[in-house]
Amino acid sequence: MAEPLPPDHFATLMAQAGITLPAEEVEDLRHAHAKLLGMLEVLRAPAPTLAAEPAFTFRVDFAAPPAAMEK
Amino acid sequence: MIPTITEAAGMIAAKKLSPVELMQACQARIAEKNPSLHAFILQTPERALADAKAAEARQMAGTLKGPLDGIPIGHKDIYSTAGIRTTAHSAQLLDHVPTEDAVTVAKWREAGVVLLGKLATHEFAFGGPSFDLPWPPARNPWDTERFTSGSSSGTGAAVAAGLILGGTGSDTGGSIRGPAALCGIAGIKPTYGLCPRTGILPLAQTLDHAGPMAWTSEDCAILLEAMAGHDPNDPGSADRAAPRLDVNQDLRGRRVGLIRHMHETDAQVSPATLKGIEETAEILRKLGATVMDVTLPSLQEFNAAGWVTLSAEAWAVHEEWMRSRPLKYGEFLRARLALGGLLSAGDYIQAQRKRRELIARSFSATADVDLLLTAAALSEAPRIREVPKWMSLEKPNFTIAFNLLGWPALSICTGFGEGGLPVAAQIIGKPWQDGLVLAAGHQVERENGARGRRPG
Repeated sequence: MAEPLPPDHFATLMAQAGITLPAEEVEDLRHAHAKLLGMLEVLRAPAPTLAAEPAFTFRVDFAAPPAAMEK
Repeated sequence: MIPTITEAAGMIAAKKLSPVELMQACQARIAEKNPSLHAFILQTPERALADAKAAEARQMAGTLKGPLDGIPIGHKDIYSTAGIRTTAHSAQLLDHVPTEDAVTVAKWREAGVVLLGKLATHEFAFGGPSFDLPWPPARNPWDTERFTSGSSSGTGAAVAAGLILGGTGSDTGGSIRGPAALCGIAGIKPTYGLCPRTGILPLAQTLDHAGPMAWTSEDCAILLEAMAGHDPNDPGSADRAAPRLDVNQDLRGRRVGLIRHMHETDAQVSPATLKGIEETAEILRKLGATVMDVTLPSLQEFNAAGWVTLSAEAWAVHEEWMRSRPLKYGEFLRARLALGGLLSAGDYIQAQRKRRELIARSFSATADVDLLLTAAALSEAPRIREVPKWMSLEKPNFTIAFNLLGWPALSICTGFGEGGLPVAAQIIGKPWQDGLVLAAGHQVERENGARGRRPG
């Protein structure tokens, strides 16, 4: 289980995201965030293979009408 | 007696049941039970009467449109309904009245359904159970101190209590199958791309699925046939014809993979839930299927990729309001959305890499099977006041795996635990095998006896 980020580090992260919440909710979120960090470790180890790269999200012909591709 | 859709459709076609009287019977149950269940957050009695009278006129003229003509239903309150308030159960949209029906709502309307109203949901299909919203959370009709699960909480409660015969749900991480499991009904998350999502408020677009919930799998098949089809305005919609879903197809020779590690090792289900899964496997064997153990990636891997994807995409939907008016959300939702705002671009991309890898490994591991079987929920419904805010981060669920894969997945009731609350199993198929999944569910339900008991 990952440790919660230090409060000042977590406050910076919140500020970067533009999120303003009541103080008691921020403290609860800081501890929940540690659980999310544990999930992020699962995603990165072991590192995915190149075949898993989500390049399918970009296609050169996406949404282009067939006529435009022929010009 | 509360009929199933199949039974009601037969009686309406034979002119033995009046759609108006059927609608009025449902309204009487709503009047009696909704004050304690909170399943409906808006009733539409004038619309219901008009719909029922129109169905009855077609019945008398011999021009019924099909098995949904005259059937009382409700829509989860993230489905847009023209001229009828659609709030997502949130103060953010308290006065939101759409001008158009969602595509799926329009499809059911064209099929002749009788709309009784809008159903409770976890706020924007993600924040619940919450007690700080404009309406209270729905309660489980088997025990009103218990959780319905969510987010299609109102549909689960309303169908189980017989307030409607079927309704819409949406499923991004289990929001159809969770309430179906805890409320003791059937609910299917169809193959990704089968049902149009235009007009449904989004949560996370690469995981969002529209689907039906009803008392039986057979009824789900009728409802799903009527809401499936290509929608050119939904980029996730598949350009293929709506399928014919045959729930009576022969299961002999089918191969069923029991994903034992998911419900015995990755997470440990309750004894009654485990018994229901084993009995479902045995029924499938008796029906002529072969059941064998299969190993998929772990629930922990699926949950990591699933919750990071869901959280990041949900943040992208809500970030403007999360920055400008976060306190108009309930506490649970704004906290869960905020977590998504703390993810980096790298986190999201790693989740997509993991997703691709999980899809490849899952196809490889199931090359020799037609269906899969595991749990739909850990156990019977917990007490609603004891549901932790961060449950999804603390215990892996059994459902989000199949949102990541996009495969069809059905929750059916398998029986009851020691406290008299329902337990469930999840039957999963390969893409576009929704009919086979529903056939397995239907034929198991016919044998397991769990459809003979309603909440009191």
